[in-house]
Amino acid sequence: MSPVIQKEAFLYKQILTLLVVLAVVTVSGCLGLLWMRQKIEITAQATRQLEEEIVKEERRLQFLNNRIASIHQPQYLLKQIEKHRLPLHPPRADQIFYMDGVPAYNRAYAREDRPEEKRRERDPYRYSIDLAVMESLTPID
Amino acid sequence: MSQACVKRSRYRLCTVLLLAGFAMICGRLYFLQVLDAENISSEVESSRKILVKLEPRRGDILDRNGNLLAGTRSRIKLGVDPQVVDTSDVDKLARLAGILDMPFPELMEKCNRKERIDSAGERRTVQWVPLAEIDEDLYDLIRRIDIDGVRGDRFYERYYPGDQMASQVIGFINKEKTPVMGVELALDYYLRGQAGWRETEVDGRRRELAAFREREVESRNGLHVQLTLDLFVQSVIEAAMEDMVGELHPAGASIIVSDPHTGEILGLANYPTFNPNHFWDFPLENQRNRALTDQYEPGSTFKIVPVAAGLEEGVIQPDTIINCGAAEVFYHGVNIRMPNDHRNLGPVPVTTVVTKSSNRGAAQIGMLLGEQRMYEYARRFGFGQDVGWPLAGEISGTLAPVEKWDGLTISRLPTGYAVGTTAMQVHQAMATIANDGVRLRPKLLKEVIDPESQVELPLEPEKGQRVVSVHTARLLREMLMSVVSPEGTASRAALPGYGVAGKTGTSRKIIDGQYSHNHHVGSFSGFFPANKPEVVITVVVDDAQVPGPAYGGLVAAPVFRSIGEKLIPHMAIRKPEKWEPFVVSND
Repeated sequence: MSPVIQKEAFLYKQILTLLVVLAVVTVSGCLGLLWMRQKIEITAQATRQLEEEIVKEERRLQFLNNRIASIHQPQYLLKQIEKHRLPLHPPRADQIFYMDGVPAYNRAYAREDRPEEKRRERDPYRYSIDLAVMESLTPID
Repeated sequence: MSQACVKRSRYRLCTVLLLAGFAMICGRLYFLQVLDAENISSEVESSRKILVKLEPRRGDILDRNGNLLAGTRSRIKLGVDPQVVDTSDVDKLARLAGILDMPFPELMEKCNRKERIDSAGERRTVQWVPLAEIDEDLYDLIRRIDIDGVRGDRFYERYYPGDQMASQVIGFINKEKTPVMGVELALDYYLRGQAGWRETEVDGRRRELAAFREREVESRNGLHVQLTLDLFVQSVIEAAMEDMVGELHPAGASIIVSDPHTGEILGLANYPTFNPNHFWDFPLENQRNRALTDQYEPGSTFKIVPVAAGLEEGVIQPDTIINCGAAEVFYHGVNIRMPNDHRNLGPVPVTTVVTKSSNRGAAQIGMLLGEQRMYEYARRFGFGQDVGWPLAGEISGTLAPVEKWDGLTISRLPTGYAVGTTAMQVHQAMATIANDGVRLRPKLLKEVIDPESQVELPLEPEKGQRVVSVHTARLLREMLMSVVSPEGTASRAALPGYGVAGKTGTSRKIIDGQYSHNHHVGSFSGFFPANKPEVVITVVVDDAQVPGPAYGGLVAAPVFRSIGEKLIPHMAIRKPEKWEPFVVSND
């Protein structure tokens, strides 16, 4: 093979290689873009779903807040006392004892050495459940 | 291609046609891409791109302890599509009827309402029959039943968990989501928040393509508003109001409770009232915050003004003798007829004038002061001017300037006639005496809180205005204690051991242009403990149905006592162990 033909063949081979490389880069680039676009779409959808979840949770939280507020209304609690015939009354002024505590803490403390079980027997209301939760709350999804 | 095979003319024709075709395509492309590009792209964009408004959440209204007074909740309008629902699935529908607490036949009737006749008399297909408005928890239960054709539309509404609790103060939001009255309207600027927006794209079914979101401005939720109201105190006064209304059937009533040292309103109730959750079920007049919008002649509660002024100006002392038996008094060259008293007290000291609530005594103290000073002190105590709340409808009452007084005003004003006041103004005046003579503007807004950062926004501190000296205020407090003694007009307001100080008021109402003998406004305004006041309570009862005159000591003082008894343990008000003199020296 003459040197001219050899040179020409080499040139053709180079051009062909370049074209192949170009094609590969283009195709892989396109596929990459497609892949990236898909990932963006998936991430965006996931983000949107998360946003919807957050909105849902906030809605649920607000519902519970409202329900808690309703069942903690003093009138509602009084009705519960009546309904369950509980022997509970608001304290009278003469039932209250004031203790002067440590000024630094602005609080007074009563020492209690008895074990908890004994205290519970002695003072059942302190250990009773919140009146408000006697009305069962239906969990929402 | 050889020219030998094709005729030249045909060759040219084909070439021209091809070129013309290409030219047309190019022209069309030019038109689409260049000339009409703007219209087309905007058309495409408008069908794909949308601007979504991001609604903010309205801030909550809280009491001083953080209890919810007004919040926002989501509800569901539940309905059924009769074309889709399977009415043969009785089991599911029965469960639905059970959850909705609806009779089963009624539910079945709604599910079978497949057609309707419209106004033109034509048959129409029914695709939506409303069933009920329900809460989230019930909707969740219904969704679990999984009935085809039963679906709900979610909407947001304002919710007031306390129902009628402080309704005239809190106000409400109407169906158009517009604040109508109360704090909801006055503090809407803080509560409403700021809407945001998002530019995004949607597919052919109008579903958002989240990946094509372009620009977004987040919404900013409204700020929480914390009021000075105390839910417990409010419930106590509402319960006392209910009891009083059940017993006396008045035309109206107002009760105000506040802390005299800060001016903070702890509770404010009016009768008649309304439930802001169902405001449309109540007459419009029930929405009036009577404590601020209705004026009345206060009667004897106003006597604290001439007595305080007289003491402050040195024209009287507690032991100064006033002749309450005089039917006429010579004043500025004329004899002025004195107002009537319940009974002739004769010459008595000023303390007895206050204790027995003598009209003649108060009138003479007013005359000793003179018109100008009487008027000035009434203004200083806050009469004739609004308390400065932003709540709509507040009035300033009526206190005519001296130039407009007639010859009798100087003898009538000190007794609480010829002056129009609101319950709040009377309360403010009494709180001034309890606060050692410093008048504070009643305070309703405690804090504004950012819900995201929980940062409290600073509010400008209120400045007090000295009306009378500490000495005068304490002298008057001592006198007002005697009003609640067994000899006074308000013995029914007594809380033994706590030293209640206060003043009753009974004024005749003007009916058909004349003072009526059968219609009265009875009131009592007081505070306790007198030596260290912790709470001021004002009760105003309009036209109580009692045999005889509805005296303040009869209709309002017992309400004061009932409220006071309940507030003592709640506010940890301690009974004074020993009564030391609390009147400071005048020197």
